[in-house]
Formats: sequence, C-alpha cells, structure tokens
Amino acid sequence: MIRILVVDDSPFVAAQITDLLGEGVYEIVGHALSGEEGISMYEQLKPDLVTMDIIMPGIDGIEAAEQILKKDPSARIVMLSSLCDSSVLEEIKSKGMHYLIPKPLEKDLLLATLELAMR
Amino acid sequence: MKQEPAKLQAAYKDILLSCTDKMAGLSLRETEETPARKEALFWGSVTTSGDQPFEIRCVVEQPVYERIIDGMTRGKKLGEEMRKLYFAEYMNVVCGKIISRRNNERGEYLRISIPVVSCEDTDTDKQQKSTPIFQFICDEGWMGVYFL
Repeated sequence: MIRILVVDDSPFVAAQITDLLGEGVYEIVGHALSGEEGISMYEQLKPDLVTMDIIMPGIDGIEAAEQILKKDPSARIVMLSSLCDSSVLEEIKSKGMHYLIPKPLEKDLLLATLELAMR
Repeated sequence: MKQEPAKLQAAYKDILLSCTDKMAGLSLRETEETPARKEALFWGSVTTSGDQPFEIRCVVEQPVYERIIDGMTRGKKLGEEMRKLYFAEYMNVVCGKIISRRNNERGEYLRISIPVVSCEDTDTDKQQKSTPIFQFICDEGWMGVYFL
C-alpha cells in the first residue's frame, strides 16, 4: 500500500481524496490541518507521499513543503490548489516541488499525478 | 475597485458556474434582477494581496448556502462549524480560480486570504452600497457576487 499524508485545512478535501482514491493501492495515514502540523506528522508517519494544500492558516503549503524537503530531500510532495497561475507554478518549481493539481480535484488527474510522483 | 474588462468578467462567471456544478452538483442561472429578500443572507469572502487589495464576497440566501454544502457532502449530516468549513472551501476554490485567471491575464501575482464565512443574517453597509458583479438564482434562492 502507498501511504499518503493529506495536509489541508479543509475537511472537504480530505474526504474527497479518500473518496476518489477508494480502496486499493493508496492508504490515507493522516490528515494535518496546517503546514506546521503537516511537518510534524511527516516526521512521525514517514508517508510515501504527501498532498499539500497551498493556502492554509499559519505557514502556507509551499513553505511547509520546503521545510519537509530540507529535512528529507527524497520526500514526494504533490501540491493542490485553486491558485494555478504561472506565478504559482514558477514558485513551486523554484522551491523543488514538481507537481501541482488544480482544485476542484478530478479523479483521473489525481490518480495520474500520484502515479507519476511515485515513479 | 475598477470595473473588470468584459472578457475577464465572462471568464469569472464561467468559473463560478463550473465550480458550483462540479463541487455541489448545482446549476445556477444568471439573473439581472435582485429579488425581494425572503431568507437570511449568509456570505463568504476572500481578500486579495497586493497594493490595492479587494474583497470577493459571495452572498447567498440561507437555503442556497445549505444546498451548496449538501451538494458537497452528498447529503451527509455535519455540524454547523463543519458546514462553514465546507462553504469556506467552496469560496477558496471559486475565488482562487478567479484570481488565477486574473493573474494570467494581467501578469499579476495576487494571492487570496483564507476565506471568512458569516452565518448571521447580515446585509452589510459594504454590500448595500455596491452593485453585485453577478447575480444568480436557483430553485433554492439567490446568490450575488461582489467585488468590494
């Protein structure tokens, strides 16, 4: 099973990801409601992959992802956001993230991106 | 806030209609008329970053608020605070996509705040002095979108 940590302040997104991934290859092992909590849960759970929202209370998802990558450069992080303009893409690429899925989430794109991230 | 170009306004409208359909399974219809208020008005809003920040506020009659959330939860029963978080996510997605479109068109780098949701019957001064950029109706009631 591929273990996923969901970092998002929205319970809707956590429920939606669980629903879209269904029962199969992926297992949601944790849901963090903030970037700070996400960093802490990453260290405890050591998931195979993280989905990370960008706009959250406290530090944003880009900063949280950076901090995780500093401690674990092999971390696999997929960013999720409704903000998907060219400036956001440039920013996440410059910080070492490679994947951004637009919200609202669509099953095919979510599954395809997670699969790519796991390669 | 200065009037947005017609092409951008049309794009914003399409974004709102599409997101409401995808997230809540709700088809809104545009209207030119503000109907006489029958129900309590709730609202959600985000504020942009930038030198001239502005607010995007979505005002809905309470049954429309409930319908959007019920569509997102697929009818699952949730407490009031959790329901607010669902509406906040709706606002986050709609407004994030609107601002992204605006950023790409204008070469700007605006971001949005975490959404605020108010579930008190509040027709604020800001709204009363402004004209909604869009108005929509559905079977449950009315929605107005303001750039403040």
